[in-house]
Amino acid sequence: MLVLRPQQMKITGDYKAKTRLWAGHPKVVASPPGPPLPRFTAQKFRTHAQMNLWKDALLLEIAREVARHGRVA
Amino acid sequence: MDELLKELHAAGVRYLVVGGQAMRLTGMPRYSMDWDFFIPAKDHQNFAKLNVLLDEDVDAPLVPLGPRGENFIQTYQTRWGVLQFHLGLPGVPSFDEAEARAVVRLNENGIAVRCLCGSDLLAAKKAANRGRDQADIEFLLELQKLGKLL
Repeated sequence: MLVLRPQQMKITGDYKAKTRLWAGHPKVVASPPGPPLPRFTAQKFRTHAQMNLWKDALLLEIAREVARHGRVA
Repeated sequence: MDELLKELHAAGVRYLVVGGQAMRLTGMPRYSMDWDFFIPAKDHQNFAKLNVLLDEDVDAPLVPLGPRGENFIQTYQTRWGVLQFHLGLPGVPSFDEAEARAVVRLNENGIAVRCLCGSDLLAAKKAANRGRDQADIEFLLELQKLGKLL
């Protein structure tokens, strides 16, 4: 039986190590519940660029809410 | 979300999960705040089925692609979280072609989910090429190197 000691499990100075570990043993992991989001109405976009702008603005709004109130109001 | 995925399947809705959730279903431990669905842009019957399923959850119906590219992406806040419907996808020629190559992946609860195949997902991520896509691209390339990109 192969026993990995802690020092063998640690890979340093290799930015892509975790990617290799994940790809070597792919496993579907449940998504954690996300933060509560501010309410918004249906949005329709012509391009992915427009959608990304809107999404970035929403994320910024969430970050500001959390910074101000500790949570999304 | 499992309930909606089962209903989509039961109703015969044409869809492919793309984006962050598709990455998660390939086995990358990754968070995404929304579910992205690639759907055919002008399949009116498919829109009708989706609107019946989503009727109580959306404040405006899903509509086909407009003549000047209107409605290309439609985003809704629902009881299942944020759902985004894409009527086109950069890097992927057409829904019909992607659908022919689609794969069914099982989620963490064993629910079948129709997804963009690995090579199309990689093409879409490369075409989008945002900062937040880079880790996904690296993961997919690593899967490809290992012969696991399905």
